[in-house]
Amino acid sequence: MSSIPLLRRRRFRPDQLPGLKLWLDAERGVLTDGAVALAAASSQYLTIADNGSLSGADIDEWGACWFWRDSNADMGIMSKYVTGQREFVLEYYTNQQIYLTVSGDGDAVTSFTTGAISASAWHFVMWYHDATNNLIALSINGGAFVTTAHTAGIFNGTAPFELGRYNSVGHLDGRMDSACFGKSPSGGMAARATEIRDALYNGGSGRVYADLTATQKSDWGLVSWWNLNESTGTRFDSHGTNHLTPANTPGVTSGIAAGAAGDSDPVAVWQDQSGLGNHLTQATASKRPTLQTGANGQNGLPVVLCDGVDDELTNLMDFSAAEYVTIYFAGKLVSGAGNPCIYAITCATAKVDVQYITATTRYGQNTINSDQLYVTLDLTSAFRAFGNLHRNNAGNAYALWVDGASQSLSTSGTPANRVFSSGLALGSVGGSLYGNLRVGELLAYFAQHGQDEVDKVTGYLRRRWATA
Amino acid sequence: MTAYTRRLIIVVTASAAGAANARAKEVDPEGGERAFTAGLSPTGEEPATHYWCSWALRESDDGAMRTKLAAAVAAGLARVFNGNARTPESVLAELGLAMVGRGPAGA
Repeated sequence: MSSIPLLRRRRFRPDQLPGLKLWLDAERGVLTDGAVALAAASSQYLTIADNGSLSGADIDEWGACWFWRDSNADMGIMSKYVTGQREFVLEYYTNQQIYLTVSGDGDAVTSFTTGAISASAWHFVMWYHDATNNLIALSINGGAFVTTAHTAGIFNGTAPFELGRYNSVGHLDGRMDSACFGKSPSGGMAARATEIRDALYNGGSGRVYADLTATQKSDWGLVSWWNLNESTGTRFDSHGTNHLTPANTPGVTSGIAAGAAGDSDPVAVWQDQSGLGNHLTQATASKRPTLQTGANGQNGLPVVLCDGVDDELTNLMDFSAAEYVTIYFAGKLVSGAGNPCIYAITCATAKVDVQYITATTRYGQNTINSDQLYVTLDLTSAFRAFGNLHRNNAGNAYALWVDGASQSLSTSGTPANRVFSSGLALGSVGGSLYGNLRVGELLAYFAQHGQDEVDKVTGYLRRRWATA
Repeated sequence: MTAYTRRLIIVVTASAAGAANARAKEVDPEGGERAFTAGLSPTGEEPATHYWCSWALRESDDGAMRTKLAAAVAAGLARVFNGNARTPESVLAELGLAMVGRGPAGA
């Protein structure tokens, strides 16, 4: 007798439905933007003892980082350099230029400089040694590499690898972010230098380790990558094991490249998981929501908390071609005061927003003034899964599901037609009506969802977020 | 553990908002010039008589922001509250202000 194979039904994922244009999940892609803050007056720096992975030789070798100076002094940026054991040092000097100095024998050096470095601004610096063509090179802020001849390779010495000082002096007074080091890139330094520079500079936005592909890490010969997002203590090597020990308690400050947010960290970027890059962002630090994790989250998962004062995240995704937009979110209001907005779609005139009216506890779609399609529901009482169907240029075409249940809507005023354009705001109507809310997940489909799709999506949300 | 252990609720008069945004930009070079753009008024109606923000900060930036606003505070143009000890609602109640544009629906 033949056995019947057991069939296991796959759990639904939001990207199994067509038309997914935005997928925000507080468990993934919530970024803050830390950098290490170094004070020269306190002799702060980061260090690791010499080891083979960081030692020089007559091979291709490169390093890169973002650098910010608060003052004007001789400052080591990246180094493996002490007297008699000189390998390389990247330093800022008081003539406002960056110097690269390399030694092949631990003593004699080749040194050269390029570019002016202003204060109180981020600068991207990449250096390399090309063993095949016997030269060393520097690029500032994604510019062309400037090179000079150097024939003796890089000394294999015992100096520690350090960020923020060299030769036990030259302490950096400023910030560093997204530092990395590599050796022997595939195809040679000459073939890879521009590719590495452009990818890391990223048009002035920088990169974090999570941005790199496996191919890049391999092709570039990446040895170590330090995101430098840690608040205190060891600055971890995301790629290898060259974790950096802090000296004299360096701090953390705003960075150029974003990294994963931890509990209570401000959220600068909430990355779209749909693959379309419709990330929500907030450039102004005071307007950033915070990530809440652990006991402050929901069902063991983190949530994004908007403070109801001035927090909002926005993007510029284009809604204009969509006839229907179905938006789901899992969340709740912390406070129902002040007629808070949950999210808003930018339209050619004004906006369509989903809003809670304090006095009447009405929740639903507003188009202007008090013109609302709504259901009476206390949004502060429980974490719930909501489904909202909006139709472009059709103010009365709105449907609402709460925890999967279709709602019978009432009408206030005369809901106006609104022509969708570009932009979604979370936590405000786009500069006002800030909501004090907790959001775990938000999904937007350019599709007209009915009960079948709602059952799938809200079922998924309810399982994950343990909604009411 | 976050480095952003401090929170300030800062209210400035409309006349001082430009200068306050300039001070905020010294702490937040990327977007500080838009820190004080959420309007307040005694009635909740336009025009805004004050602007405010609620800002999660590192300890060092908390001190820096307080220092930068000290002159405005002394002149009665700004109030700085500990946002870890005060709610936004209590600040509004103390100052007799309401958020502008909090009508029945604002779209």
